[in-house]
Amino acid sequence: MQQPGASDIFDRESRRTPGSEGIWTFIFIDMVIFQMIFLMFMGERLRRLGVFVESQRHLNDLAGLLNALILLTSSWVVVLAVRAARKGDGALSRRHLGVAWLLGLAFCINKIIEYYAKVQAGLTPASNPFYSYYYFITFIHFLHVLAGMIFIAYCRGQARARAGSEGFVTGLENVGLFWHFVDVLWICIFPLLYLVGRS
Amino acid sequence: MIRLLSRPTIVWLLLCGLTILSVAVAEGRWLRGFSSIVVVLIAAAKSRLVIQHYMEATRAAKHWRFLYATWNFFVAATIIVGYAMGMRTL
Repeated sequence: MQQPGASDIFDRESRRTPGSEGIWTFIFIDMVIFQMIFLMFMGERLRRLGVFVESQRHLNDLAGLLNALILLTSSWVVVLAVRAARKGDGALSRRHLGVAWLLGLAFCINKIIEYYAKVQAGLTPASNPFYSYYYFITFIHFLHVLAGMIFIAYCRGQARARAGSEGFVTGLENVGLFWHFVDVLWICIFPLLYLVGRS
Repeated sequence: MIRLLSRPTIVWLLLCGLTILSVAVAEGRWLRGFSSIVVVLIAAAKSRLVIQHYMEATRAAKHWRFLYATWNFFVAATIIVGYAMGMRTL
């Protein structure tokens, strides 16, 4: 249901920076931290190239691919949720956020299955430097997914009553920006850990 | 149909297609040593698509557009340069 005045808000929204200034700063700081981690990973890879190339062969790239497709789809659904909220359609926004949350859950389940398979095969963070980085990077990313799911669940709870209001739209845009950042991280992590140097 | 093929949907289809292509390139042998570089370039293009179209960076302040694009460049450069240096030592 469209709230009165929602289209005015949408028109105003289309002219300003999405979300708040703080979230753009927070995401950029997080980006820089991940860039440092990627730099350390590539440095260590150069030092122990044989170990890294051999260890990478034991990763399941289809599990990584599935997670990439799950996160891309959830990002797309969050875009639709933000658009619906801007138009004041709380019910639609809520539905989209529900789907995005379920996709986040699917990512977590797939990741836990992958961790379980690795540990069962004796591949733990203590196995070698490649696996130390693998668990470290993917677990930090996993925590970002969990945080995003909490924010999405909160917005879903508010969507029906507050969609179309400026405060809610800005809040949801912030959550959307964070969720897209989580997606961008996996876009970088997937080739870094699973694909580069594979062939 | 028009609603289904809105810009976010087209971007999503493109992103999924590029993701599958990157796995095919990594698994295939036809590009030999260059496949990893192509995979990283595909990832950089995907990252840019998400930043531009889903994060709506085109509407953000100029400094954010610059910083986010620069980060994307440095991540891709880090992986490509690291990989190329590894190839030389093999």
